[in-house]
Amino acid sequence: MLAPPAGLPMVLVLVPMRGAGRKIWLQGFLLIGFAMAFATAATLAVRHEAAESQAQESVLAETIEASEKAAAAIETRLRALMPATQAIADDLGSGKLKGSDLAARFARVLRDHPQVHGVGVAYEPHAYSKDIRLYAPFLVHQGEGPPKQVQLGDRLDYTDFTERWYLEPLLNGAMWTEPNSAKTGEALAEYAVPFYRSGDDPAQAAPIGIVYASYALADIKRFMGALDIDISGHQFVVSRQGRFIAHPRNDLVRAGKTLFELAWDSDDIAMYTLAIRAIKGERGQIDHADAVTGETDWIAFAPVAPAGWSIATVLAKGHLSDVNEERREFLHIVLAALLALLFLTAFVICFWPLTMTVAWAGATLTSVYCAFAVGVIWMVATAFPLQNEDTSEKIVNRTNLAHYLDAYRRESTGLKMEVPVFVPTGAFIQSIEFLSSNNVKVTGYIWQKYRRGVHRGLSRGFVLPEADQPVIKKVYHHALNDHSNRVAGGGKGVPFSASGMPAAGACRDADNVHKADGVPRDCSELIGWYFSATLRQNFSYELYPFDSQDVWLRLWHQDFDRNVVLTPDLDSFEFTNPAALPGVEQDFVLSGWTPKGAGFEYRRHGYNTNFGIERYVGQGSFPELYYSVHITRNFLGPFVLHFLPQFVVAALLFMILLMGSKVGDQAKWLGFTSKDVVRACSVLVIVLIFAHTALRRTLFSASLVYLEYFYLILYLSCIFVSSNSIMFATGKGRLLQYGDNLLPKLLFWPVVTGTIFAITLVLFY
Amino acid sequence: MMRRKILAIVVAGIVLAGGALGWFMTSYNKPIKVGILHSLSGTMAISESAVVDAALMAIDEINAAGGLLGRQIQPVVADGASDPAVFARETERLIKIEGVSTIFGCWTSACRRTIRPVIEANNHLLFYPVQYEGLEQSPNIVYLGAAPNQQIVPALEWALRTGRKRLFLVGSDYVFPRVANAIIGDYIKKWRGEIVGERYLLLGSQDVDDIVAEIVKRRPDAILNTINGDSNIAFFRALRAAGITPKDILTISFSISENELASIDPDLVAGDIASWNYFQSLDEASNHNFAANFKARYGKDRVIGDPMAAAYEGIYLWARAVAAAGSAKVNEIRAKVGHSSFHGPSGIAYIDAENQHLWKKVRLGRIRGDGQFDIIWSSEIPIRPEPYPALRSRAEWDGFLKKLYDGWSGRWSNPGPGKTG
Repeated sequence: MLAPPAGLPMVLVLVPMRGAGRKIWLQGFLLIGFAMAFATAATLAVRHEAAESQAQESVLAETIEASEKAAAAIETRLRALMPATQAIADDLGSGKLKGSDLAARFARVLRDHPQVHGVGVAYEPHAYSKDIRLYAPFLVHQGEGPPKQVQLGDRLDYTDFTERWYLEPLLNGAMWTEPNSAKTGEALAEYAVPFYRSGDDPAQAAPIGIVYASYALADIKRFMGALDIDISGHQFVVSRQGRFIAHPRNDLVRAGKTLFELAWDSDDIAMYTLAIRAIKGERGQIDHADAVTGETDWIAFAPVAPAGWSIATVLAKGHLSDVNEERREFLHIVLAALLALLFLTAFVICFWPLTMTVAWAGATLTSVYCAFAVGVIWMVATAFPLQNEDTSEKIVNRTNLAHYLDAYRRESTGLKMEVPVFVPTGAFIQSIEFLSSNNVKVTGYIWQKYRRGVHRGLSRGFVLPEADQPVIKKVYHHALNDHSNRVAGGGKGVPFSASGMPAAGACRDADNVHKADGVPRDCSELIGWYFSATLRQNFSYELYPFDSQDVWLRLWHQDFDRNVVLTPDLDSFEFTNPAALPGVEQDFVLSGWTPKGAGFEYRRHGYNTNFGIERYVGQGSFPELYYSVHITRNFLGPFVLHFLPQFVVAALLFMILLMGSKVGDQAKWLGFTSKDVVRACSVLVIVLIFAHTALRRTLFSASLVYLEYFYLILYLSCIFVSSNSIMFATGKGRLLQYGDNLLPKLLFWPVVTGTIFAITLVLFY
Repeated sequence: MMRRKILAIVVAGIVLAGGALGWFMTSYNKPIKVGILHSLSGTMAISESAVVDAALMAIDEINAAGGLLGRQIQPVVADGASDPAVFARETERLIKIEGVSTIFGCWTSACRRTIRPVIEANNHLLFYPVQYEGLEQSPNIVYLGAAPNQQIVPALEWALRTGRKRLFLVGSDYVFPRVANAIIGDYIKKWRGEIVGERYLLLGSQDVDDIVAEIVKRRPDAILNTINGDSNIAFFRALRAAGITPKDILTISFSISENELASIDPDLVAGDIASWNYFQSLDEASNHNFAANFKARYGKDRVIGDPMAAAYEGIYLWARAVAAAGSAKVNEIRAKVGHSSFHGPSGIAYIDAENQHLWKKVRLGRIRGDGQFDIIWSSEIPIRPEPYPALRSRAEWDGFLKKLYDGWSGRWSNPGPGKTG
């Protein structure tokens, strides 16, 4: 019978085992320990699952609520003008309202309902007067200032079959029409009511015209933006035919696109199904995976009853979980599971007589469990990497870009800043090279698109603030599909040549804002630059070799003293899914690293200086465009370079420990002397120091990196083995002498792996 | 003794286990049978055999990709011989003797209406691939073809939009054209158009001279044509002989597809319009792949019409429903058939759960001299299926149908002079 088993808790090993009573007590304790640890692990696992699904349900419920709330708000707004419109139709039909009084009545409606864009009436041919074929006064807001009356009958034949806004309510009764821009060029949605000749029976007679009140789609979008609905996603509204009425992407609304077209363009059956269910007036939610961006969303939709519209709220699922919290939960489970295994092993071992084999089995199993747990923690850390608090706004699609820019526009208006100007900018990274632990050389291309009128007078170019003596060379310069590149107001043309390239003049020279005669630069052009820059960035190597880094480019516009915001030129990328590495060279090679994601993001920066510029817009919180590439270190290199030798050193130390014996033939065969042990450990320490120093020189980290803790453990192990050999040789320490120095031998690997586990747990927590 | 008992038990156990395993393997690998029921002989064979080809191609594709639920699909092809009574008998046989999971079949409304009671009595499932007159909504039928509001009404609207307000209606005298023209009449009245004439000819009749003479007399802006079969050849020949060209009076047809054009002299019809949901010339990647595969399989001179594309999409929609149900049992498939969707040659096909019709885009094609179509107009969005047009109540439509059926002595087509009720 040898020493008690080497499982936890170790303190009980020292208690002399006297009789079955103590054994039962011990077994009971171990069993309870196992049960508690197992129960903890199981509870944590179940709770994690439940919490995750609860979080999902909670967010989904919020998304659905956001749709319902917005639908109710829009419905209330729409219903507000329906009675007034109906009243005009009724009064016309009853004779109370004459044609000559229409203008005053319209003006009253616009005064009483300031959200209404315009009010009008359109008569059937010759219904107003025998001498007038089409009579259709329309009082409408046009720009700032009081509303103006236009005669639609002079501008278009609204009785034509193509003018659905007139024909459908005339034939089908009071209804909300599809968005149209026939009247004034602005996209409007209207509530229209047919009216009858005074004295006619509406059940029998045909209507003689329609009365209508219009909302501008732009106003509906502004109204939605002002709703107090707290969601991190975005919302859009479609008409009864699926046409966009409001969307963060104005281009979809302006072009009269439908949700069906979006679905067809990307072969998105889920979106198509959503479109059908929305226009059927259903409410519900779908899971949606965007093939282009890689994002998975929830889309909750609700009908807007009177108009037959539908409002949808889109929330990206990826924003739900806190990666750090998830990782910690998993680590709790790992810890509880490890404890359960150790208690179980100790409990099982208690049923066997305490032989050498059993003791070594216990020690081995303990070491294996701890080593396995370390491996599991590495896997968890890879799946849920440590993240610093991320205040950046990732931009993966045009919708969330439009949403972000809309918010900034409103913010600029609120702060009475100049109206922001947005410059589409793209980036392509050809190579990344680490010059040192905090310096990285990046090469690639950056391009910008400038539009005539919109970017009048702006410089053409960008700044890389972090770059140390960057090389920036213009490599291409094209006209952008706008053949009327004339300078506004100056009367001087800046023509493009027949080939489409800018002709001689200010537009060709990307660096000049003005021509010699002071005419501001104003043309539509695309300019691309090659750049090569060494960037100084603060990389953290704390978790080496399980670290990952973000190599980023911060981009400013050349006119950074103005309210010019660079925007990602998403149209230039086939895929915007970060995992598809948009903007990264396909054959990208960075030795020792693997690119995992790339994309654009905005970060807010403020400065404690105005750079001498009065009312410098960037001094407060200004959105700066970043392009970043996320890379993770390849594990194999550091494993071969560091872990393997460390393991060999640890194994050698263990063998040195095993060689210590004072018993009979063993001592003769192994030739144990403490002098030899100290000598051997010294050599190993020197080897470790060399390797450790080399690591330090590579990383230059301010704090200890993860791998360095392994070196520290090995230094301590060398000291322990040396001290142990001396004390064992001199007969000191009852525990050390026990079983021919058995305890240190048994405890070597459990203590080493256990310490590594503890450090890993703390560092990756 | 004990040993023998144990041995016997062990052997019995092995035999039972082997039997169960064998049964499981054979069940697991048993193919899923489906019925393909179309006219392979008789007057409709020329149209329907092409539909069979498209359906079989879809089945082979699914089988080549691993089948459904780990099982191969086995088509059981049956000939309806262009006779509704034969269709009804074959339906019974396919369900009760062959044990098919679902039936894909029929062309004429007479066929469908005749086998519908059989399908419903057996609580089975039919996928019907052809455009039809609507006024029907069976929970046991998936209607893959267009309802009237998905073919006829948009074409009518296009005609009015392009200034063609005076319209002449001509059709074969059976249920589809009669209902189609009733719907057209309702909409024309509502949209302030004008019907200047409405004439019918018996199925298969070549007697078109009177009709053409009336067209010449009335000089409509356009002709809305629901004539079926080879009567169209006689009709267009007579129109051209009377000096009527598409430039003078445009003819918009609802039953002439690429398949029918293969039998008609293209010069007779070039320049006129057809209204469908699918054309072979549709410029979409999904259609290019489909057409290329079809021609590779059946010959480069083969043409593809709307019912063929619908039949192909129907097989895949059914397959999606089976996969969603995890079972080939009819009841379980029926529960999953609504909301089933597939990106097919005509675009994204989606079954409306409420009425088991497909949402469809509508396209107008101008007939070319080579027997293909140039698509001149397409609805911007898919049209919601309305089997019962909203301008009359369901009771009114049922009454209309009953009047037709009774007037034709219990038939769905006019049997001819002296035979009507």
